[in-house]
Amino acid sequence: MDTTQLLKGVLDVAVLAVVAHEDGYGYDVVRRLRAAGLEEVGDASVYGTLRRLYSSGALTSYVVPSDEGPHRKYYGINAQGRSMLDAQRKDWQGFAGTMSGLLETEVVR
Amino acid sequence: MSVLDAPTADVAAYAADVRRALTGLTPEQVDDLTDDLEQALADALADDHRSGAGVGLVGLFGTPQQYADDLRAAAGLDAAEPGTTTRSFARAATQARADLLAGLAPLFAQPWWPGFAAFARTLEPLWWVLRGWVMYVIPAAVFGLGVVPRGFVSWVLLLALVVVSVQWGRGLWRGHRVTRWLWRASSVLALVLALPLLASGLDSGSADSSGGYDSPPQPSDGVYVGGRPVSNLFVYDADGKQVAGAQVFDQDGRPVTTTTDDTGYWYDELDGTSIQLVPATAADGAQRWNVYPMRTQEWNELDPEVLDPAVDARWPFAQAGAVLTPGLEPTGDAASSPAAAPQPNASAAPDASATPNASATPDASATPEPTPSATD
Repeated sequence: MDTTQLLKGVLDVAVLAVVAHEDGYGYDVVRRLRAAGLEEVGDASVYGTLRRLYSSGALTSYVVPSDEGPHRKYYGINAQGRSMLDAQRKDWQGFAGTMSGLLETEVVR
Repeated sequence: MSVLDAPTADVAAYAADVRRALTGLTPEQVDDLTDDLEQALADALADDHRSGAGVGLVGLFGTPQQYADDLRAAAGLDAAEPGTTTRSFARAATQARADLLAGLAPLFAQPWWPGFAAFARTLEPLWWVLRGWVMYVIPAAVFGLGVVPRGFVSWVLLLALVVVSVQWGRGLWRGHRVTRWLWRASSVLALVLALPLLASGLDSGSADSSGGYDSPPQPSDGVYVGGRPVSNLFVYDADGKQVAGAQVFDQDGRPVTTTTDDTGYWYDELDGTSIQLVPATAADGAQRWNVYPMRTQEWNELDPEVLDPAVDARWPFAQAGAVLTPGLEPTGDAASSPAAAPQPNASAAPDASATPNASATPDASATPEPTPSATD
């Protein structure tokens, strides 16, 4: 199965979940998604998603100065992002439950 | 393994390719999507856990085109979103810009557009400098430094702002959200203010050099010679003899008068002299202010309220030089009887009523309908 297609549908909620856990800059979010098991996630897709969530008002953004490297733009979640995350989490759980039930039945048969 | 030493030139080249591949977006959108792109690429290269490490940028991320496509697709910029509500000014501005670009699409399709766009892009640095100057003018206006810098401090300020503007134009110094916002705001502000400021700057410059603002408004009436008002006119005929009671009209048949005051008071604003002019009287008793030379009155030296009796104006010289008058029959009558009205060829217009219009109309009515013969 092409997991990249599946990933497209859930990337928003995945990014929201990662940022909700802890504020992070661009590649930091990529790294944590990969560490969580989403190895196939594309860097560019994550960055694009961060921008879109930010411009739609679900994320905040701030710059953290760094002594050794360049300044980093961090993203954090806000109230709107949290309610979006909650709604999508419910959607996902419902959908995943349905799919799991459907697929179990297939296996048993 | 460590790829910390990965050539930054590769990263810069890859990032540049990605930006180039983001076609159809405004420069601001591209900046917004890619402002920390180099850093993100370097972060990925430096990540030891990255499975594809060591295979190069294209091995890690795919081609710049793919990267750009993923970026804009995930950012939702690949297609217009008709249903989205604009939440902030920035989004509204982005939407307005997209609408504008869509509206201008037929223009971009013109065969001459690419050449024109390339030409305009060449002039972009000029715009950066202009923007720097506009940013200078705003504080300069507040502190009264002047549109054109005068003095060391204002020149330093102008130079600094031009440098900032040019650096922004070159894509530098835009990393922070605050400076990005400043950059956009100043660009818009400069765009709005540039033309009026330029116009006023040129205006004040020309006014400074010519002193145009100090000259009095142009007079609407009266006779001027060498910029000075004329109080009286003296007519000499072709033989150089004085002509009394000469009626003077302009090319439209309007009487030429030296005073606009209907009491005959004539005043020279420049040297303060004043004269009381006395009009001639027409045969019907009306006053004529265009009959020269006019008689003048002086205020009584003993009683400034009272005018002395009118006196003949003093001629500037007894006789002028004779002139040749080609086209005029050398009739002795014209010279010898200047005040006599009935000149066969010249009196028709002014003598009847001093308005040539009136004399023109009798001619028209005097020739009743020459057309009937043409209808046959």
